Amino acid sequence: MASTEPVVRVDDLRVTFPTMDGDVQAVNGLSFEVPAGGALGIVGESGSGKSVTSLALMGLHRGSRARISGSIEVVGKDVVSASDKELRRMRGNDIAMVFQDPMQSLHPQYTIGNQLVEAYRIHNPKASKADAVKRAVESLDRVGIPDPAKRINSYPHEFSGGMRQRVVIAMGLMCDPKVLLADEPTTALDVTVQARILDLLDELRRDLNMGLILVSHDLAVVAGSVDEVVVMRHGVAVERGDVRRVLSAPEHPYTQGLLAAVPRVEVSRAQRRAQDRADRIEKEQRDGTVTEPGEFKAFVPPVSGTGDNAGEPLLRVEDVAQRFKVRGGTWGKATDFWAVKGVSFDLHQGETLGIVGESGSGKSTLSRMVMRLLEPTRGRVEFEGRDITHMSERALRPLRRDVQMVFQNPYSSLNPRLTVGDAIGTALRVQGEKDGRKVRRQVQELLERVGLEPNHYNRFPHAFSGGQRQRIAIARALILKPKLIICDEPVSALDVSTQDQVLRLLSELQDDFGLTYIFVAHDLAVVRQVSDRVAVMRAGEVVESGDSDSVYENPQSDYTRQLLTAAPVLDPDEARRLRAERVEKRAKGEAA
Amino acid sequence: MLNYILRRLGAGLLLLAVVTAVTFCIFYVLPRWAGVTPRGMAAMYVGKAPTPEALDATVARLGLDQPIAVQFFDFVKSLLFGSEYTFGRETVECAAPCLGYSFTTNSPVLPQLLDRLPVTMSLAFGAAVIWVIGGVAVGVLSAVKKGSLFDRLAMGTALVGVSMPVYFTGLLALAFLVHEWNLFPVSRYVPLGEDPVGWFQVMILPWVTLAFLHAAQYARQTRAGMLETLGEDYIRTARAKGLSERRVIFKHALRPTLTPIVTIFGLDLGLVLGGAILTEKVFSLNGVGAYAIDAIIGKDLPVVLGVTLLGAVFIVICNLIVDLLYPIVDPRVRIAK
Repeated sequence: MASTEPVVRVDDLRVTFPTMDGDVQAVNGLSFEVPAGGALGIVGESGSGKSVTSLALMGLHRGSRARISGSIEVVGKDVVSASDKELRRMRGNDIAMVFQDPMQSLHPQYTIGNQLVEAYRIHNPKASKADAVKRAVESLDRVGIPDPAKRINSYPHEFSGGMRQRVVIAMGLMCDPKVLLADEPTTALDVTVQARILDLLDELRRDLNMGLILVSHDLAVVAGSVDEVVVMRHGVAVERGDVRRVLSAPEHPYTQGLLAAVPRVEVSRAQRRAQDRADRIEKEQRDGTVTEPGEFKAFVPPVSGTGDNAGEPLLRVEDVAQRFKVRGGTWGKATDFWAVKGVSFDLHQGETLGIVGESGSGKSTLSRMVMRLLEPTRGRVEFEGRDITHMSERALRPLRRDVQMVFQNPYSSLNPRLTVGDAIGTALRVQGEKDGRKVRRQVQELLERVGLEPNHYNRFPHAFSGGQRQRIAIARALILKPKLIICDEPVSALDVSTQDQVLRLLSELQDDFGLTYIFVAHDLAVVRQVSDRVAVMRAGEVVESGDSDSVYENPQSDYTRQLLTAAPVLDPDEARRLRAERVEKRAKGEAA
Repeated sequence: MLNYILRRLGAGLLLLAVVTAVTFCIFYVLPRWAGVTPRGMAAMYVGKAPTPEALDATVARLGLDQPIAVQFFDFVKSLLFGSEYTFGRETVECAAPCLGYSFTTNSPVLPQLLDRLPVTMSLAFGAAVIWVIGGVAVGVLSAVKKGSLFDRLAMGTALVGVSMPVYFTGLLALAFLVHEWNLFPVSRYVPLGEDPVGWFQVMILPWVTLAFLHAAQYARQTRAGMLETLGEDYIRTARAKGLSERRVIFKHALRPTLTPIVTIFGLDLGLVLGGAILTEKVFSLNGVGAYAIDAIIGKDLPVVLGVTLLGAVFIVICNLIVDLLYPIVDPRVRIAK
């Protein structure tokens, strides 16, 4: 076969979903090609039609109400017009798919061996079971599952998230497909695991000369792995071209905006702050509403000056630790698990402490202890000089107004049956405000401050987008004029452009009200831009801490360095250099 | 794994002990608290209209005037080691798990219960087979053909089935199928061992009647579970592998759907084994349930107590079996190592 012949050719693809309010055009006139062994990135925010496109490539819209027109050719066969039987023969054989959430995409009740063997035998019915098992072991070995001959009999829940994603990839490789379609394959994974999976996909594509389609919301994720990139918005490809060209000299304003919004790990807190402040002044001058910091008197926390109390920290955490009992073993005997093993820090008013770590590092447990949602097993938590470590729930109540929390998922952290006004105002009522009109006025003023409208007061959360919901959550945290706000992954569920807006809002609020933040996140770039100081956590311990610029520019611990080389970067060449570095380091590690 | 089995077995035994204690309280302690004298209690056990002397004799024989702790000890002792009842010169032996002595029928309770057990078991197992197969099959079809005429008809029928009591559907079936149209013979229960065909002919109507009620519930549960499972990511993965729709449904979607149904099944079967009172009564089957009803009406307390304990034993056993099956059905339940 000539190498010029593309393995995937999509021409004028249109996908329409009929809904109660008329037809929705999810994909509108999309065209692209992927050469054999080539890699294409499809990038877009939620609702851009990128996932609809990937499902269409697999013919997985069959049986739904979607209407598809245009042509999708995979290895010379048209997916749109193929019969169900032909389509089934193509799936897994010509084109295989890797999905977003590895926790959900494997069947929990069958061993991975069973699922891999099935994927092979459905397309090779004459193959013996032993052959299929042998192939499955090879395939698992290929994707880096240790001890594959034994692990083949394990169930999905016996693997970590990253390992499960490897299993899904191994399943995709069972029939030597010409194209591998990966839809957000690393979104649910930690940074270091993400880097490994992306490295693996890149390696497989080169070794097996497979076409790769990498779908992601994150430009930085595709940057180092693809040759060509398609940027989608509202079902339309706004820009398409060589990845280096698109990322260095984007033509379309949307791509430019998207690129500008991606948090970059090399941008420091000071730079970002200066930029945000300049943008704000410019915008307000345009609107004619110049505000001085602290103008919204209603929400200024009742604290004396901000500069002169540097000696007395707002929050002092001393060697706190949290133990959980894990049940299991003979007769349900519990074993101890230390989620946090002795962490200390001071936090002054107006400062932001960033806590970075991967899943299981104890960062959420730590923030719950500071909130006193958990009682530390050991150590001390002092708030404004008062020891709150073992304070009773009743004694804590007045303090609850001073420490508030913003959660990760704005879709599940707002009660769907409460109007926005009630959700925000409840806290005021709980703290003893009885005058309904006063509550309403305060809430509306605050809604305006976080960039929503006063008449949103009576709406329900479902009427808002993710970014708007996070603004509501922030307003809910602000209503009691807290001194400290703990943000637990506040932007990780949001699109890049929305993420940028929320980060700006948090920064403006800090300027206006002298707020203190603890900012917990796994995204290194985001944490750097908002934090004065950073603590890097791993397995319940702080492996490194210090002011954010020195931690990022001159990391002392191996783990921090590992995190930094794993973080996706926008520059394709830099991304490839970091990949080479990682591969080399891993090879050395294996040799040793 | 062995550990898990031992733990479940231990838990089952513990549960039985608790049920025994609670049953004892209901039948021995509560009446005493309510102010019933030992003689009054004896009257409940003896039934009919006894003479005062007979009452006193019963009080003495059953130890009803003893402190509660002593009574409980005797109760447990006769459960574990059996006991003897003397009537003048005559002594009646009540062997090991002695559930008590019925003065109405003048015999120990357990043998009578065991006599009637085959009838109840025939009814329970037969009906269970029908309701599981029927309910699940209809549920799966409904889910796969969601919104079709079949789906709507099946779910409509299921709604009717859930809402109609056995004494209504059963009597209807008897009136029309047996008496009006003579489709089924009118005959008494014959044991399976003696006449399999006759057994089947007698049992088919009670089976279907009892199964209808449960099948309706199972069909609705299966349909809901199946629809939820079909929306899971791993079903999309299965389709993306190129599996046929049939394989997707029967291999990948059915198993997770059945997992919660196994739990309900254990409970339902245990309940029915303890006596399907209404069905047995409607079809004049002389099973445990019918026995219990007669005992309640005739104030034959030892029998009521015996049936209660037997029912508890069945529920505990069925739950135990479900617990032991669960790790096989859903490997996530298996304990690590």
